[in-house]
Amino acid sequence: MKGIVFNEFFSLVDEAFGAEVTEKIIVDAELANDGAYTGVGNYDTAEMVRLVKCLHAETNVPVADLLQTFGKHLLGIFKAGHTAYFESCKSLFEFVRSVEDQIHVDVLKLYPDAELPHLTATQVSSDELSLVYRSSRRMADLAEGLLWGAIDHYGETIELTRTELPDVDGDQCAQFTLVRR
Amino acid sequence: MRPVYTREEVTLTNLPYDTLVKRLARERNARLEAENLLEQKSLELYEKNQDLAASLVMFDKERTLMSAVFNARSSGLVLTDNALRIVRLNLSASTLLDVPQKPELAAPLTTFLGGSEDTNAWISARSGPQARFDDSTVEGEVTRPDGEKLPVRISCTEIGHDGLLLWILVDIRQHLLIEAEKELLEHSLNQAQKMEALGTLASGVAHEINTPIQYVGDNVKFFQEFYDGVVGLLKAYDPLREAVIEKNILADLTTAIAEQYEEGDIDFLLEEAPVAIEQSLHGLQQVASIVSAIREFSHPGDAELQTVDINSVIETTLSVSRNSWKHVAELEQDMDEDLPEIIGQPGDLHQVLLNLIGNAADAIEESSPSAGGQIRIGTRKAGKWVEVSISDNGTGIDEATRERIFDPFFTTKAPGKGTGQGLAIVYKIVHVKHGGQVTVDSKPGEGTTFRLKFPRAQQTNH
Repeated sequence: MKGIVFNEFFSLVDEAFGAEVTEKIIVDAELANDGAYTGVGNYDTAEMVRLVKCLHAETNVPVADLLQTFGKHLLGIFKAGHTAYFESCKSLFEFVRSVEDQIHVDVLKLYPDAELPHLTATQVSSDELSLVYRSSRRMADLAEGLLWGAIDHYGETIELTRTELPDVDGDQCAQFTLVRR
Repeated sequence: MRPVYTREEVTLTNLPYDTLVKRLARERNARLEAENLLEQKSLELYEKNQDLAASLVMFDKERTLMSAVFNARSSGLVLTDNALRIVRLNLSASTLLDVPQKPELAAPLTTFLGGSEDTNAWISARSGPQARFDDSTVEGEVTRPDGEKLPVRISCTEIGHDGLLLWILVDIRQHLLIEAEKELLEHSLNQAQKMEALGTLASGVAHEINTPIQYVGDNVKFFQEFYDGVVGLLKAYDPLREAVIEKNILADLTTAIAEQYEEGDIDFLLEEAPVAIEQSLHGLQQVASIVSAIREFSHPGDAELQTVDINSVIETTLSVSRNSWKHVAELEQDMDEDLPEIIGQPGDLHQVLLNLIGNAADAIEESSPSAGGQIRIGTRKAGKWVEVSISDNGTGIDEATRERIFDPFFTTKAPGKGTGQGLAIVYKIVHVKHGGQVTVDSKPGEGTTFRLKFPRAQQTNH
């Protein structure tokens, strides 16, 4: 996982729960580098899982809520860094459909070692889109947060439902159904 | 809680001192790691650059090699896009098409390359989005800017990127020449074999006919002499018969003789018999001529080969044969005064020319052209050959007849006028004895040209 994700996580914890909580979970998580992350560096995803668990222990906020909130926060960061791309997509569905074929392709060009989730978007009807998430990193909650962030950005009235699917070869799978209202 | 998508930092002044120290330490560590990462990436970038430079050198060598191979090929290589616009061509193609090696961009290949309907369809099938490719080749022609057309064999293959096609054009002029010579040689061989077989057969027949014809001829001549004697005797008896009748004696005998005369139609016999004998002798003479020609064809003279001035042979032949053509045709000569000598037998060549000139005169006599008969005889150098042409404006020869004119015994002349051996002898003398060639061009109603080709003296193997 890229260092920028960790730094943004700390930033979110700072503002949501205060700097003391941030410092505590860094210590509690027993991180290999004591929480010193460089934005372009690549780090073990397990460290993020430990951080989230420690935050949950510290705040009693469910892990899923924490990850969804963080996902929403991350989308704002991505949007600020790639304004033109977000503007080129004229709707939420168009954006979601493009993630696998464009964003992930570009990310892999820059970071060939990146471990990206596999997303399968299916346009069920003009007002309904299905997105199946599959990843060994088991971050479906983070993905849901990113989707909420995107829904906010495009300002559409969207009903989002999530269905847990059985694991495939140890990968977490989930289906998100987005219905335009 | 501030909006999640802003990059505002928590106000540092609100943080406790020990937290600030920890964060400073983390920032410093992160910076050091970033520097290490930068150095590592710089090294990777340097190595990639080195690899790239090495690749460029390798590509440049490959490009040089491919360019050398491309230009060294004797076949014309033309690179086009899939709309058949020329992108690049090698030195051979430049020479073949007679265009600079960097032609005007996007000039269509079809400006230079085409051929029959099938060839054009073959070329078109390899252009556009529905293009199809296989290992086939097709013969077509290149049209150069000056209009000259050159025969080529065409093949085409896909390069494998950007829709590029490689066209291979092989100049087949030499190949076609060799094929034509081979075909002519095969034809000559077939004709020679046919003539050999017929000659052997004819020789046997001629031998069998020759002896009876000789004694039949001798006997007819004997009968001719006998007839002359009998007629003389009968004429000697006439005064005796008239005297006996006048004296009115031996009436019974004279009456019986008169009746025998009447009954035997002796007057008619006496009148017609000499004609019949003459006709028989003439017929026998013709048979003897044919037999003689067959024997000559089968067992030609064995005179030694020598260097021959063909112009001189022609002059002699024309002089000897003047009577056969002077009443039907004007003669026109176009002789090369610097004609090289050939190796041959003057007697045989004389025979060849006599036969051809005789045929020309016969053809003119048969057609009686309104503009008057004309025989043209010419000689010229033709590469390694000496060529003699004999043309007439006579009846001409249709295609079916042309196929057979050199066959022994084949004649279109009226019965009794030709032996069917003349052109067969010409063919045999020219091809077999002189290693030459004889060809004929003719259009019915317009005339005929025979062309004889003999190897020049210094190039023959005789």
